[in-house]
Order: sequence, then C-alpha cells, then structure tokens
Amino acid sequence: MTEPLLDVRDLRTAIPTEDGDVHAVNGVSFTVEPGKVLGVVGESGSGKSVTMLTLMGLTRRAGAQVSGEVLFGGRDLVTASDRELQRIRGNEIAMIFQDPLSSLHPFYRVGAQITEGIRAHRDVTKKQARARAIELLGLVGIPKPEQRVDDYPHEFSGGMRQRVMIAMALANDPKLLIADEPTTALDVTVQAQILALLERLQQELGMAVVMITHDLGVVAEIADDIVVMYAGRVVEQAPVEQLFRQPRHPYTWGLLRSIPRLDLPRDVDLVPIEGRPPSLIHLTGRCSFQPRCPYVGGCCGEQDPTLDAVAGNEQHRVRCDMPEERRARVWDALSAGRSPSEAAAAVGITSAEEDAA
Amino acid sequence: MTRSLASPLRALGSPTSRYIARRLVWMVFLLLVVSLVAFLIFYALPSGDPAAQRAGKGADEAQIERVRHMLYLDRPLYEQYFHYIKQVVLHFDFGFSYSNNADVADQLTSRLPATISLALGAAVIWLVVGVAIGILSALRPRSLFDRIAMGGALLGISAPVYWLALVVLALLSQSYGVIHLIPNTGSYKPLTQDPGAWFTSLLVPWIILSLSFAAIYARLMRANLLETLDQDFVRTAEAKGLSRRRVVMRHAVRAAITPIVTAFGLDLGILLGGAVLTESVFNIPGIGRLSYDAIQDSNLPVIQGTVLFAAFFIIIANILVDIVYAVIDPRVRLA
Amino acid sequence: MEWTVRRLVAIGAAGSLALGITACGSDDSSSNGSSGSGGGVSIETANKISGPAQVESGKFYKAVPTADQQKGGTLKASSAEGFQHLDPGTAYFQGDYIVTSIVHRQLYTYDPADSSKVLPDLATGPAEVSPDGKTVTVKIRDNVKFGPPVNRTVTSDDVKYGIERGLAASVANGYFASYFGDIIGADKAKGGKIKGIETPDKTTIVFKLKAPSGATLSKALVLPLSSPFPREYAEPKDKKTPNPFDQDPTLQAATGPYMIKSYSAGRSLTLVRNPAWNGKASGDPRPAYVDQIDVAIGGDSSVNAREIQNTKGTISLDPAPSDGVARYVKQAPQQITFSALGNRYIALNTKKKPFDDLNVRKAAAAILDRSAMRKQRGGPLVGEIATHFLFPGSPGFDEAGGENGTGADFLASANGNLELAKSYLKKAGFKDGMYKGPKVVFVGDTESPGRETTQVAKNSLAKIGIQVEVKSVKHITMYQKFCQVVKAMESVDGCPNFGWLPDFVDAYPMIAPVLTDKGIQPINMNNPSLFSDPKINAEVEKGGRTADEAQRNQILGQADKDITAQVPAIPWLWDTQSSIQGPGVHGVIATWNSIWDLAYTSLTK
Ligand SMILES: Nc1ncnc2c1ncn2[C@@H]1O[C@H](COP(=O)(O)OP(=O)(O)OP(=O)(O)O)[C@@H](O)[C@H]1O
Ligand SMILES: [Mg+2]
Repeated sequence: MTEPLLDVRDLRTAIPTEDGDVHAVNGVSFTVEPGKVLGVVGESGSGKSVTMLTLMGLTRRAGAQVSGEVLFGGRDLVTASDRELQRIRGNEIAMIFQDPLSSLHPFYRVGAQITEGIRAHRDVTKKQARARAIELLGLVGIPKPEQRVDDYPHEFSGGMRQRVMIAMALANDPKLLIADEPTTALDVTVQAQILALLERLQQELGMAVVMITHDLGVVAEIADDIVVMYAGRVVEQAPVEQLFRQPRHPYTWGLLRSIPRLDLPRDVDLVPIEGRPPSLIHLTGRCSFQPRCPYVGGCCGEQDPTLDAVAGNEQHRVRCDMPEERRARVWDALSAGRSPSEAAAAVGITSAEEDAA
Repeated sequence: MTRSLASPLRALGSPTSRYIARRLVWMVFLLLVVSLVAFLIFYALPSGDPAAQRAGKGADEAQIERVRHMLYLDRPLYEQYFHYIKQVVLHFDFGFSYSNNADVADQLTSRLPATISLALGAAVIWLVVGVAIGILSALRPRSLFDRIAMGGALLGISAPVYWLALVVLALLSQSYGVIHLIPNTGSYKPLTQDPGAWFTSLLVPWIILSLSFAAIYARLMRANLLETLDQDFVRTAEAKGLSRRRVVMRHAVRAAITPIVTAFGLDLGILLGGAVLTESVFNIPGIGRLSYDAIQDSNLPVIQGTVLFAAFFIIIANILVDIVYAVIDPRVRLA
Repeated sequence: MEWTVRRLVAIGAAGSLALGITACGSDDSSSNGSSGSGGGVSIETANKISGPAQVESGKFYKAVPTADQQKGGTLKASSAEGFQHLDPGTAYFQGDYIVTSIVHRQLYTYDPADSSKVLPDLATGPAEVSPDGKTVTVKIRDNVKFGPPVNRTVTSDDVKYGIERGLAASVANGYFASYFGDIIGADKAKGGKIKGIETPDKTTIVFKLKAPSGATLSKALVLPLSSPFPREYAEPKDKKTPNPFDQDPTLQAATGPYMIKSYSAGRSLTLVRNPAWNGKASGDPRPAYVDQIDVAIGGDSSVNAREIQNTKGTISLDPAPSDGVARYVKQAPQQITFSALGNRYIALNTKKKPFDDLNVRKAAAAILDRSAMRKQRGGPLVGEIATHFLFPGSPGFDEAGGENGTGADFLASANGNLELAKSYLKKAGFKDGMYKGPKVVFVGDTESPGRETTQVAKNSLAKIGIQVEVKSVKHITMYQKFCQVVKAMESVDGCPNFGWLPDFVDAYPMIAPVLTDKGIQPINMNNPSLFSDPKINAEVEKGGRTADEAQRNQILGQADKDITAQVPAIPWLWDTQSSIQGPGVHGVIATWNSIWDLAYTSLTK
C-alpha cells in the first residue's frame, strides 16, 4: 500500500461560543490516497466543513481547540505554525467552497484574485501570473478568458463564479483539492457541469480530491472511497462500490434511501431520517445516532460504539453495535422497498414507542 | 466592456460625468428648496420682528416702517424671496446681517477657511484613529485592548464637547492651566498667514472635536470588521495562503470600510456647516458660531446664508460619497 | 438704554452654550459660592447687594481714575458678544457705546468718578434751556477737528447733521423718537434737514421744540446721536443701504481720542489714536492713556473670563458670566468691580382681569419670593432685591425712599408674606384669601435664567391660588410677538422677564417709556402693564420738563413712589453688572454705561 497523501487521526475540534464549546468534530480519522477521490457525506451540521477547515488551520482564528493529528507530506498540520500552514494553503492543499456568490471578493477583478494566490506562493511577475490566470480560466471552461480576467465577480453567473473559484484553487497545482459542497448553491444543470469539470480536472491533473456533499448520488459517480459523518464522527467508511452494495450503518441506510429519484420532489433528500441531529455542546457519551435510530431496540450498548472494520473486510468500517446478521436482514428488507419501521418489525425489533410503553 | 470607474477623470462624457452633471442640477434645485424652506420657517415660526429689532425699542412706528422698507421686508413674501435668490445667483450677494450690517457673503467666505481647517483636521484625526482602533479591536475581540478601547469609546461618545474643552483648557491653558501648554483661545491665524499659529491653535480643537467621532468610528469599524471577517470571501483569501496582514487589510478591511466612507462623507459635510461649540470655546472664527448667533438673533440673511452653505456642503458630500462608493465598490453603478 | 434684545440674546446664548456646565451646576455653584463665605470675602446674604457698596468699602476693585495712571501700551480687550452697530447714529447697545464714546465726542459726557456730573465735551458749557422749555441752546468748541479723511474743524452744522441722519432709513436711530421727537419738523424728516435744529453760527446750535421737553432733551445730549458728522462727506454715503459707516466703521471721521483702524464683524476691532485729537487743548477731559486697543471678538465668555484673570494687560468688554463672577470674587477680588445697571420686574397687565384689581396685584407682589428669583439669576452678586423702580445710583432713587423702599408693605418681605397676600385677596373679594378665578397667562423665556425665574414666580403665585400658565418662547419672541404688542397683550396677564436700563443718567428715561402712556403704542411698546394713570402720567411729564435737578429728582422720585403703590409691575431686582480685568490694567468704569471706559483705562507697569 502506498503512503497516504493525507492521514487524519482522531481529529477533534471544539469551537468556543457564548453558549459553550461546540464540539463540531469528535475524533475523525480518515486517509486520502494520492490521486484518489474521497467523498464525505452527512447531513447538515455533521461537521464536514469544520473538519476540513480545521485541517487547513482555518478554524484557528475562531479560537478553536484542536487535537489529534493531520499528517500531510510528513508534517502534522495540527501543530504546524501559522507560517507553515500559510505556505501549504492554496499551494499544496486548495479548497473551494459551497457558495461561489459570496466566496469571491466583490471589489476585486477575478484575475487579480487569482494572480494574488499565485504570487503568494510563486515568485513570478505580474505578467506571468496574469497569463497563468487566463490559462486557468480557459482550463475551467470560461469563454474568452483573456477578456473575462478583468471582470468583477458580480459580472459572472453562479456557475461561472464556481469555475473561477476552481481556477483559483488550481492555480498552484495543489496535491489535494478540498471541494466543500461545490454544487449545492447552483441549479441542477450547472451542478452537473461543475461536477463533470471537477471529474475531468481530477483525471487530467491527477490530484487527490476530497468531495464534501449531502448527496450520496454525487459521490457515487466520482469518489473512490466514502466517509459518512454524523455528529462530528465518522459512522461508516468504505470504498464506494462496497458502500452502495452493502451499507452497514442505519444512518447510511437513511441517506441512501434519500438519493434523489425522478419520482420524488428534490428537497426530500436533506432529512433522510426523522428527528434532528443532537446538540454538539453537551455530548452524551452514547451512540449519537441512537435517539433517531429506528432499529435501536435492544442491541445498543451503554457506550458509544467504536469504528470497527467489518468482519472480513479491512476497508469497510462501521460504528454500530447491531449484530452483523441482523444488519444484513434489515438492509435486505429496505432494499426490497420496505419502510424502516416495516424493516425493523421484520427483524423482530419493537418500535421505540412500544419499547417505552 | 471594461469600465474605468477607478478613474472618474478619464470618464468624461461617460455615464459618470453625466451622473455628476445630473446630480449638480439636482443640487441647485435642492438648494432652492432649502432656501425656500428656511425662508418660510423663518416667517412661519413666531420669533422676532427684524424691523422692530433693528429699529430699537424706543422706535415709533414710522421709524420701524422705514427700517422695514430698507430691509426689503415690506414687500410680499414671494417678492422678497425672488429678490434674495436673484441677488445670490446674479451677484453672489447674500444680503447683509440685520444685527451688524456685515456683508453675509463676506462673512461666509472669510470664515470658511477656519471652518474647513477645523473640520478637515479633525476629520483626518478621527478617521485615522477611529479606524485604527476599530481594526485592532476587531482583530482581538474581548481582549484587554478591545475592552479598554470600547470602554473609552463609550466615554468619548458621551463626553460633551463643551465640557471636554473646558476641562482640557483648565488643564493645559497657557494662561490658567495646570500646565501652561496650549495657546490662549482666539489665537487662530489663517494657514496662509502663519502656519505655526494655525497648527498650534487648532491642534487641541481638532482633538476635542474628533474625539466623539473617533469613538463612533472605532465602534463602527469594529462591528463592520467583525462581521466582514466572518464573510466567505475572507475565508477564501485565507485559504489562498495569503499572509494574515494581507487578509485583514486588503480583503476584510477593504470591504468593511465602505459604510465608514458614507458616514465620513456626511459627517464631514455637516461639520463644514460649522462646529458651533468648538468654534465658540476656542474662538475660531468659523461658520458655526456665525450660524448659531444668527439663529439666536433671528437674523434671516445670515441664517439663509449659513443654511445654504451647510446644505451645499452636505449635498456635495453626498455626491462625493456616491462617487467614492462607486470607485470602491465596482457593483455600484452611478445612475 | 434698554435691555437690548441683542444683549439679552447674547446672554441667553452664552447661557445655552454653557448648558453643559449649567447641568453640572455651574450656575448653582456661582450662587452658592457667593452666598456662602467664599475665600475670606464675605458676601452679605441679606437683601443688600454686594456690589457698589462693597466696591466702596474696597473689598472689590474700585474702578475710578487716579492721578498716577500711566500713558502708553496696547490694551487687549475681548468681547464674546461682539458689537452690533458702531455707527454712532445707530448704536444703541452697551457694547457699542464703549466704542462710539471714545471715537466720537458727544456734546456732553459724564465725569467717570461721579456720573451725576455732566461735563461739556464738544460743548463749551451747560445747555441753556429756555424758561418755556421749548428752546435748547448749546455752544460748541471751535477747535475740534475731524480725523482722517476729513481733517477739518467741526462746526455746529456737523452736529445738526449727526442728529438729522438718525432718521435716515440706513441709520434708523432707535431712541430718536423718545428724546428728539419733539424737535420741530422731526416728524416729517427722513434723514434730510430738520427745521427745528438751527445753526445761527458755526459754534451755536439751537433746538426748537414743539413741546416743553427741553430739560429732557438737554440730558439726552450725552447720547452718541449728538456726535458730529461731516455733512458733505457723510451725506452721499448715508443714502446707501446698508450704511457704509456701520458696515465699515473705519470710514468714520473721528473726533474722539481714538479712531477705528480695522474692523471685522464678529472677529476683531482695532482702535488707534486719532491724530486729529489734541485732548485738553480742545477741552476733552479724557486722558486716553493707551496707544492702541485690540479687541478680539467671539469666543466663550466663560473661557475668556478665565484667560483674562491671568493674562496681563487684558480686559473684558462683556458682563462677567456667573461662574466667572464667583471665581473672581474668591480668587481675584481686585480684578472685578460691580456697577449699578437697571431694574427687573414682573409686568402685570392692568387692563385685564384679574390684575386690573389693585388688591390682586398687591397680593401677587406680597407673595412673590423675590429672593428665590434672584437666587436663580446668581444670588446677591447680581444685585439688590428691588423695592421700587428707580435703582440705587439713579437720580431720584433717594427721593423715592432709597434703600428703605417706598413703604409699601407688600414689597417689605423678600421671601413673600402669605398672610399679607391673603389679606389683600380678601379685600379683593376672595373670602378665604385664596384666588378663585381662571388661570393667568405669563409669557416666559425658554432660555436660562428667565425660564427659572418665571418658574419661581409661578410657584409663588400658586400659594395664593393663582395658577399661572407659562407660555414659553424665546426671549426675543417674548418681546416682539407678545409683551411689546398691545393686541397680543389681550391674552396675556403678565410678562415676568421684563427689565429696563436708563438711556442716560436720569430718572425720566427709567419711568416714562415703561410705566406711563408714553410707553404705549400698538407695536414695539415698552409698557406691557398697559399702565396709564392720568395723574401719574402728568406727574412724570412734569418731572421730565423740570430743568432744576433737585426739583426734577423730587418729582420723579415721588412718581416712582406713586407708581409702586399702584403695582403695575412687581420690581424684584436692581441689577448690578460685574466687569472684569486682567492683571496689569487700571480699568475705569463709565458708570453711565456700567462697563469700562477705555479712554480712562490704562496699563500699569
Ligand atoms: N465558527 C463556528 N462557531 C460555532 N459553531 C460552529 C462554527 N462553525 C461550525 N459550527 C458548528 O459546528 C457544527 C458543524 O458544522 P459544519 O459546518 O462542519 O457542518 P457541515 O457538515 O459542513 O454542514 P453543512 O452541510 O450545512 O455544510 C455545526 O453544529 C455548526 O453549527
Ligand atoms: Mg459545510
């Protein structure tokens, strides 16, 4: 096995707020192999963004308390100095964000914003940087880049702006590109274009990509591996085809059931499971998905389960106490189109209410 | 499709110059309205009868009528108004003061340099100090510096200028201070005449006048910058690997400063209409004291003149703010 | 001179500029500081003043001329109020008189040590009033010269023109009608020749009057209107509006010891010696010690007062602000002096219920807490509590009863006498001595201290059931829209912020314009009590026509008594004005003007 490009180990981030510390990341571990695409999924608030921001050192300004390790090219980014991080950011690791409308500075021409990033890391003349910016704009599919380079962000559409963001991220040939929900704010046809662009660039440039999304459908196409996050933890992790063939965590099941289908309205995908995510200020120390889990009956332990490899498959890890055999039966029932409660009944789990009664 | 907002001068014949031309026409109209309103208020509100006032208390009716005629006050209102406007437009003649017969245009133009000196000097101080403190505070929210600065700002906002001036004089006045440091009031000299005296006589008034503004601007800057630092584009700049300094100054501050520009333009415009208290205490011969006395004395020609001057500066400041805004923020179009 | 609008407005302005400190109790501190025993200088807290009496006793600076005063130097004066009209034909304000009196020679002037003494100035001797009182003859000096640019000898025609131009629209003298209005032909003149002023030769001027008012006219010849004006030089300029001599007073041809070198309205005034003036040689008694006077105009009177206290060779042309008075009294008693100024009273509308009833007026006077009112103005330092209208130092004051008052029981108590007030109300028909009628309306000031004194009056009257509704307006509005307008007085019962200064040192101008029918005209009148008692009118007029000093003062003093007994107004204060100077100055007060006389003031080494 090759050395991973990025190795995140037991990363924890707590952000101080007026109401108390928000434990947004609670022991996240994963690796990214060079040239590979890692999909990170999970509903809103599960800590995807904070994880990525933390590993780039972008939560430091908010006073976040960080522990764990983030190994990148032999350095631990958690303990790296601000200077070192500055040198890595936008150079070896680049990031693009959810909302291209607000992610570009409204007062500067896009060309200037791109060249600024180049000149921060490379000793090139303004002219050279500008040429590079035009080249990059062309690369991401912006027509007439030599003219558009002098336009302001507000003169671009949303999709075009995300292309500009991508161009900016690619400016210094990063080894790793973190794309934090790059398509969420865009409309459907544009989403597809941007995804296709990212896929093409990843293949052409051979960089590794971390693709964050709510949407399992998106990662199914381009990811090699998938990490499912819930309440600041990784609850399941597997190569993409395994995850789709045999998902093992009740939360993942919920997510999979919500992959958009043409016969359903688009907005049902965001709440796959009834209920709300738990508070990240007061942690319970038990399985954080338990309050919303339809299959809770009987099998859950008092402790938070650990992230363990599935028997016979080192690459597939899951954080759940449910016995393996029961898990297979529930997934079979769900795959057959049954609802979660029907599936639970089929394997002999009494519902939570009945349990309580 | 490139635009050259950064250089309004190059834009002659462009939308920018058309915009300015339109705004200037609009200004003339506004000044007419302002003068009319000032005129009507003067007659609508019960105050003194300028003719009787000028004639003196013992004067009989015949004498008052003579004065009324001399002051043009025996004509119908509309005629008085048109006469006034005509004189202003054709001869830059703002009439003469009821209380001392001084030529109003002379008074205004001769007092303008002092007012401009006072306002501009104070503006530079409060802008630099206020913005600097605001930035430092926002970069370390809730730090000791922030707490002291914002506490101080609250004091600065609430300290009355008059009181403050008296305290400073009591401490530093050459003639009666604890330390004999600053020259006696009334030592103002025009810049062109005696730059040294100009500076020393204005230094303390500048500081005092700028204090409350600096406090307000510090708070404004701090709040804006804190908000801007949370903006996505600042995160983008950080993610690009820019230095902290560049992120803060070029990206966050640049965006956070636009509301300051608006406030600054208007505050300066208003101050150019005169700073009554500071001018009075330090005896700086500016427009503020003139307008204050005029209002106290129901001295219409001087009220009209100072109101027009003040309105002129405020309108010009508005136009400049809009232009500067368009230069700063490319999303804004002058239309 | 009246309480000129501008003057009071300026005081009001200083007051509101000082709002910041007023709120911190500066006004209080001045009254407290002065009513307490401040810094070894004890101020009587009784109803006596601290002013002239203590000036006499040497506690405060005695601003009189002495033999050892020295010549030379530049006096630095400051004036927060500034000047209004420096044209002697228009000037009608204490501050302006300071200048006009030293730039021009009037026919008569006062001895600064004793303002009851009139000295001939441009005149060679006393004015001759004919027995019928209808002719006044004055002889003038033949060796007085106009300064530049006229540089010729003054003739009687120049005096005639100086008076005539008072009626020109661009000059518009304010007191002409009161004292010069009886001159034959004055009613038709508009700045041109007046038939009743004759100049039989170059040194004689004769006033012919249509009424026997010569005695009063002769006393008014101290006013700046009697300054000579060169006809051929001035006449063309006087046709312009605004008047060039007022807008640019450097154009004036001076006859006095000083001339105006430069003037910038609201900013500065510089006076230098008049090269044409030769002092005693042409009979001018004034020493004119200093070579130059630089007046800085503007600023804050409070700050100015502090600077002057410690700055050598400076003097203030403003009345001292109340916080300044308190400080000078404690720290620099030899740099402050007090002089009598005039009176203040609450005018009651005698033509309207309920104050048309003498007993109700007496009750109101009896209950009024005049001591509390004075406290609001600054306490004992601002003057004595008044018991009649003529003030200490005014001719006729002693004849009216002097310090002891006229004997009116309703003015005996400075703090108010409830029992007495009730007894008068009973006489007025209110059975239990409490007023039971509709509210009365007072027109009060929105500005300090008039606002506060009105409140005190309101509280006092409430004690006997008289509810006062105060209509608060700006001081100037109070005068010009209400208390000086007969029609407006139909709905007003009282004007609590009235006061009067004499136009010259005499009892007549203290009484006639304000408490007789002379003071009633449709607008711009000065008798808001609308008080017109035929007997008293005649008495005052008789006094005014009496040339003999003792007799005149006897009659007018008696008139004051008679008026006080009728209570058309409740006198509550005899004002004193405080004047301040810096170290190194020997200031001399012009008692007739209650402020410094710069032609007698000198610098000390
Ligand atoms: N600066 C911050 N201060 C306080 N809390 C924060 C901050 N940033 C994130 N959080 C909290 O941390 C938790 C995780 O947020 P995060 O943005 O990582 O979620 P996410 O998985 O990216 O969600 P989304 O899909 O909505 O982007 C949330 O509860 C969020 O409210
Ligand atoms: Mg996110």
